[in-house]
Amino acid sequence: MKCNNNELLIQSIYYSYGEKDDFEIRNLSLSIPKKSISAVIGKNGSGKTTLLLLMLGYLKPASGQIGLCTNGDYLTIGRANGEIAYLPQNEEIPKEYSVNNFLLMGRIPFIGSFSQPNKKDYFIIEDVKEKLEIEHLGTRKLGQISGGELQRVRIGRALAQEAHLILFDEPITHLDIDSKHKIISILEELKKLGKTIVFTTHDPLEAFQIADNSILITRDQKIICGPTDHILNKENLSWCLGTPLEFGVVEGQKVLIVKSRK
Amino acid sequence: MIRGLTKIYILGLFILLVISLFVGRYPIPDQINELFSNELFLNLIIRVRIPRIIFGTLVGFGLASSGMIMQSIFKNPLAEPGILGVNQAAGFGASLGILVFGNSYFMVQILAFLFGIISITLTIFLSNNINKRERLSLVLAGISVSALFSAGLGIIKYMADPLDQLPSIVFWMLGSLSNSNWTYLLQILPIIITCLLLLYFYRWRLNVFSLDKEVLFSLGLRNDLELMIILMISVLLTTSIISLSGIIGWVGLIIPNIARVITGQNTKYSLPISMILGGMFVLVSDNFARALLPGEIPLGVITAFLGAVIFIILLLTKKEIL
Repeated sequence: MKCNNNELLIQSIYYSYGEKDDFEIRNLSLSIPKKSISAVIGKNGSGKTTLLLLMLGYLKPASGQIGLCTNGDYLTIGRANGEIAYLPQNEEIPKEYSVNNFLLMGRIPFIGSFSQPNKKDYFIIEDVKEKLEIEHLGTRKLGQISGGELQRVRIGRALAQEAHLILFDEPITHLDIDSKHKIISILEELKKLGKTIVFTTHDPLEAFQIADNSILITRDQKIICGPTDHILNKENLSWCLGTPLEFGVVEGQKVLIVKSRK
Repeated sequence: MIRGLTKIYILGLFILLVISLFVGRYPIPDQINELFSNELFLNLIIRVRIPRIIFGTLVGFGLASSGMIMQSIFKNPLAEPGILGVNQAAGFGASLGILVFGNSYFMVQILAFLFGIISITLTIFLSNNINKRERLSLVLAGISVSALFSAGLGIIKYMADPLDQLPSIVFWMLGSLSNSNWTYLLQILPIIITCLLLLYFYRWRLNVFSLDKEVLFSLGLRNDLELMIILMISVLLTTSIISLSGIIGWVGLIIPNIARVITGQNTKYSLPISMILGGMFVLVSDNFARALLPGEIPLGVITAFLGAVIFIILLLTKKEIL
């Protein structure tokens, strides 16, 4: 399998979600380029998380193949082991743990079952905290920090894991405006560091702001992907989100306007 | 800071160990030089008290660490061998062993372990079918499984020879360290020490079970294998102890909770503290059992009394347990 310049390759996978749900992925192929940010966009319940869990290898497609490219070698996803970081949307947070402890858990792939974290692990944690400007949080408990700070700490765990591919479920949507900007600039920073990021959102504007590529899950469960500007056009979005939309430009930035139906 | 704290607790344990040597109904010789010349006293110390104190410490270490393991794995501060049905099941298995195989300690041990595994499997299966996310479902499942094996125990008691087997089953059900002579102790010592060491070295890793399943998957724990192995080790530890000491309750429930109050949630620190506190708790309880009344009080009665009192205090002051 040729990796070219891709981080993750999905080849003609089929997946269906139980019997009650009629969610289905039919013959999906796509590739996630290295050092890029991709957005998975769709309405709530459209299967964004499912797609992310397939990329993680947690869910297994009925047929087709998903593979990871590490150091130029192709690796089927079933044999990946700690190379992909996953940050779920409603993660159950052990509130009583300190930020340092939580970050250290990102080092699990490197620490044997019956051993303890060593100096290198602690060093990496310090480095991660510096990068994300959360040094001051180290000894604080997870239950005592804000939502935006928690988001940065979780990103920190993904960095400690030294994963090249980070799958991030709804990282931005539920934050306040100030934290939103912080996370967006951190994600861009991560890309510069050589990370590949896939995140989900139901807000196309987030994709416009940072995503190089977009993966759009349409209403009839088709999945289309490509460069963001190309994929997220007026027609696709209006059809996909079920509301007539129009683009506008305010001070050079794209904005979305819901067309009034009068 | 916590490391210094651990040292203090270890010191406390050692002092307690020495004190425990001299607690009992046999009078301590008046003069110091008589301590070593009184042959009867020396014999008592070497043949009876030392193995008993060693075993008592290990009982505490083992039960408390099993409790800590189960509470971490199930993310539930009420999980412990007793509540999950392991104690009663091991009790059932061991009594069955006494009934069928008489004095074969080996078979008693095997059956205790076997039924311990059966009970925890049953409890997990039941709780998953009630409601995975709900804390209470694990407890309810455990109580049900526990009740099943209690009933089984009742039948065994009914069938046991009232003169020979019944008293030993009953006494053993209440828990006691009085069986701990060197012969028995050396038989299970290797198992207990191995299990304890494995769990001790696992102390940091135990933290991972506080994370979500999908996150664990991404961190390379791709299935439940490791969880199952650790759980089996703690069941083996618990049932090995129970097969010699009988059912000693409450240690696994309260000690880990106290340890977490002292050190915080990080199991790297709370597991060792839990072990030490467990050892101290059982030693103190056994000292009461030996010395409080002219006859020996079953240890399980003392740990139940002290444990319940401490648990009530914990419930009233630390609401997060529920």
